[in-house]
Amino acid sequence: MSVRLLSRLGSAALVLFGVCTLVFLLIHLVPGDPVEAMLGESARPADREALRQALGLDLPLAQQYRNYLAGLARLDLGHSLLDQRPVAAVLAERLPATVQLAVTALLLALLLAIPLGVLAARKRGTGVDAGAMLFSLVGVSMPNFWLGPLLILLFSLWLGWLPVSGSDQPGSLVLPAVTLGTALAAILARMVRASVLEVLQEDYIRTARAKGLSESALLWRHALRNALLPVLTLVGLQLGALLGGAVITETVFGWPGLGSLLVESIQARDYPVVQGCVLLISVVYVAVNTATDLAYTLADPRIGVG
Amino acid sequence: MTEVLLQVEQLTTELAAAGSSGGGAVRVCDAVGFDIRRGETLALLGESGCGKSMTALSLMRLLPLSGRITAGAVRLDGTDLLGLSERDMRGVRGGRMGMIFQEPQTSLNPVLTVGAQIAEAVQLHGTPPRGRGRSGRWIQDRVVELLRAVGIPDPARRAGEYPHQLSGGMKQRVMIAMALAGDPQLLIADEPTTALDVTIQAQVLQLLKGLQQQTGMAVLLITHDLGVVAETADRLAVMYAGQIVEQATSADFFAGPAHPYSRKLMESLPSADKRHGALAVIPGRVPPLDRPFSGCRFVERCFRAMDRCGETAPGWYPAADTAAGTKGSQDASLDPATDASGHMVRCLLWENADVATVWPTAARPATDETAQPAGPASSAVSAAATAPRQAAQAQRDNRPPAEHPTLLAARDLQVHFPIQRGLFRRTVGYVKAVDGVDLDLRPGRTLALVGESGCGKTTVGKGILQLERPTGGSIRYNGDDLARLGDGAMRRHRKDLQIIFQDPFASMNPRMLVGDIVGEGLQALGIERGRAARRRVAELLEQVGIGEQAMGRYPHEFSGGQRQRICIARALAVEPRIIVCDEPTSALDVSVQAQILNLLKQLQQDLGLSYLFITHDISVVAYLAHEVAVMYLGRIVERGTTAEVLDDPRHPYTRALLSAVPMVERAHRRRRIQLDGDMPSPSDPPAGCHFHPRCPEALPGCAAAYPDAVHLSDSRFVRCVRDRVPNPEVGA
Repeated sequence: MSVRLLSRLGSAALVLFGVCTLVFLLIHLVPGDPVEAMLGESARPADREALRQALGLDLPLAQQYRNYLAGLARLDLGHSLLDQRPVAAVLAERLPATVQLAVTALLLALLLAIPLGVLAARKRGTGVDAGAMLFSLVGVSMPNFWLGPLLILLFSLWLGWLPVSGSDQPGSLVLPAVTLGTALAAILARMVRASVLEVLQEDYIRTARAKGLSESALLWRHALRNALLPVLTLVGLQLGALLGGAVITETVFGWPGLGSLLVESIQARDYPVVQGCVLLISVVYVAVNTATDLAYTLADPRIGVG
Repeated sequence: MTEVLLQVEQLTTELAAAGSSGGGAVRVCDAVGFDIRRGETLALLGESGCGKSMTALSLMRLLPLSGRITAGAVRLDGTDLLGLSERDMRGVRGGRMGMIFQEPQTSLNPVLTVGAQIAEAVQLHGTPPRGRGRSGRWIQDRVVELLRAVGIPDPARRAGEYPHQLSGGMKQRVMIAMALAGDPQLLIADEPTTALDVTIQAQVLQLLKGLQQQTGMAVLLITHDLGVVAETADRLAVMYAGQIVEQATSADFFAGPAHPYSRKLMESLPSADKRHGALAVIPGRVPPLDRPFSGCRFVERCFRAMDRCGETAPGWYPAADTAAGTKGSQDASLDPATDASGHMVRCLLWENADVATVWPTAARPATDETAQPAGPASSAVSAAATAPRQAAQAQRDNRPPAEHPTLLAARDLQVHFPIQRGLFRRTVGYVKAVDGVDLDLRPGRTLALVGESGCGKTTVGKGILQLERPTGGSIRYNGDDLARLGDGAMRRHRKDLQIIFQDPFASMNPRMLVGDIVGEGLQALGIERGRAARRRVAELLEQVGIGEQAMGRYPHEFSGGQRQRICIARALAVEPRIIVCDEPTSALDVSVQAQILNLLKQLQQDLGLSYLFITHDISVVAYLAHEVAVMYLGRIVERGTTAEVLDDPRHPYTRALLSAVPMVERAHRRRRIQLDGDMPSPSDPPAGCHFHPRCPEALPGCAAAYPDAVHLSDSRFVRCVRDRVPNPEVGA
């Protein structure tokens, strides 16, 4: 168990190191001169030189890399070009909103997808099944940039129940979370259904039936836990993606999270913040996936022995 | 007379046929009827697809979604089970009627502890003792009690473990404990030991017998194994193509089976008595069950078929020894169960007849080659087994092995697999799958390698073929040491060394034509190409009894036995001298097994092939092998000619193994030597003799060192300390 934990953490650390290096190189991948890209062609040479020095771009590459890593170790990600605030502080300010949105959307998706998938599997081939799968198809097919405005139109503008955008009013979380959660729920419901159907064919389900268990005990106690194992992987991947900032949804609803920060800073050519965003998103992604892997150990007693 | 517990009448079950439109239902059970009395064991015997499992599932009302019971009645102690609501039926399942299944590996939920899984059954069907109130303690106590009852050591600790931490035999014990939780009146055991090794099978059957005596429950035992039936059942019913065709007490049945199908089944069992002839085969295959039958279902395959058999469906007739009794009843609904001890058969031969007229030669089925009724439709192989050939073969067989030249010699063969752990995949130990094996293969002879699962016998086969590279020792073949050859040099010998696998369903590419599968080796090794290769493939398919028209078809179009023939043709294509046969008949029914064994024997005589026959089935060894090597935990513990080893086993493990094999013939049964526990892991074998912790005859010195081989004759050695020093006990 501990060996597995260590080796998993070790490989996560390796991935993160690679990510850091790529993010560092990001600024050098911009075509032409990054400073010129940031300031525009009309900037004065003196200003360019000043920025170049401020960013340390005049130093040799190896030196830059060392400085960058040393900065990372102190959680120093540089300063925003817009207001000179430390990038770390900017990120820290935006992260909670993203976590709040992602977790809400995921819970919403799970609450919808698990009962729906199980129900569809249990009533396989009936109208219930067909209805659930139709929802799933529609949910997957609907893009967020279309569903979001549609929800705003209906609930905010026509019915006036919920705020249009922002995060400062009660209820402002609802529409972004629903928008984000719908697609996820659709994918998960499909997966839960397939997985439950597969597990229901297993010999141990027959054993449980032969024991005299009711169909619902069978489903919830024996089938679901086994069926959710493959779903868990998908949830992990999706949560990683959600935490990485739901760029479109956050932008549509003006939700002050990492996704909208990323869009804003790209538009403002605020390179240090872009770098910080990408780095943080990657870290979160890797961390969530590692955690998912380890959660498997808890869910399935066969893993983790030896 | 004892009271009837379960009454099954005219039970008819249909499965909606997959793929076929328009109500093409498959009638898997057709008017099945039998009784089970309190405390007795009734065996439902039949080959795969005969409907025996479907009958069991119908009784439990646990049919798959496509299944439906269309007629009949099932009464358990007066309760009409088919009339119960689903809710009430759930109270019966696991309560008055428990069931255990074939595959213990997959029949337990992997994510729940075994204790929790038994506790569920206790909670549903158990009654809390008075005065214990609502405390859940009694459930835990009962779980531990049940685990103890099925012979699981340290039950309190085991209850907290997950299924993957238990061996196969242990899991089946847990399944039994679960079924016992409701104090069942009837236990349905669907092939309960088929997936287990013989010594473990003996343990489980013994356990069931003991529990039955303690609790007085009745057992419906579903099996294909005649030996298991003979040793455990009070009465039996033979099923064929969805119908019961014969019912009798075990004693009556084994004294003289009445139905031609039952007789052929008995005759197709391999044994030492039959080794100089071909085994009886049943030609053709079970008819499809999606159409109505006008006459007897066995007519197309029956060697005693009469004109009437095709048109008149046989009713039940008594198969009595004397001509007395009610004869000539054409009433199909005549219930054999009404006559408790009666031997009843569904065959027109018995209409107005008795045993003397139906089976005049002998009441017992033929067990030697002189009474071998080779049916006109049986395969060319059995017809070819003529007397002079048999005599010559018998003579060859009796020559000591040393007089045959050695074709391939393995010395101190080792195949060790590293166990790797941790971040850097450090090797922390070795699984010594094969740990110092010596064996010799001789032209035209069969060496059987016998042992239980996990003993390393398959790895020996792979090691010899260099499919698994040996980590030590040598394999001398044709002047080369195969273990030291590079891949290129090994290719030259590939043609001589071929293999046939256990599972003919998994060992052929489903997307290749049979002709291409068989011909692939010819092309790969550059033996024949183009038209010559095609001609050769056609010849081979003809030789194994499939026919050249099979070339343009795909593997799924063939039955298991036919596929194994194709696999044999594939191995033969490159004209090998040695074939490793890795359990080639374990996945097949007895009657099909007989065909394959006949074919292998014939091919050996015609082509002088040398077989390394890997198996766990002692009766196959007795029938086919010239020499036997018995393996336990990576080493050969005893080796000798088949007669030497089977007639006079010397190693305690060999003796236990042989005694555990269920035998049809009472005279052949040995005193059971019960082995406790399971085979230890080959990654951490016990010190000294690997067998000593389970050995009933272990001496204090056995843990000190692995005993050296003691040669008892030119052909024979035993690795046991008891044979090192002359010991009066051993000789006795």
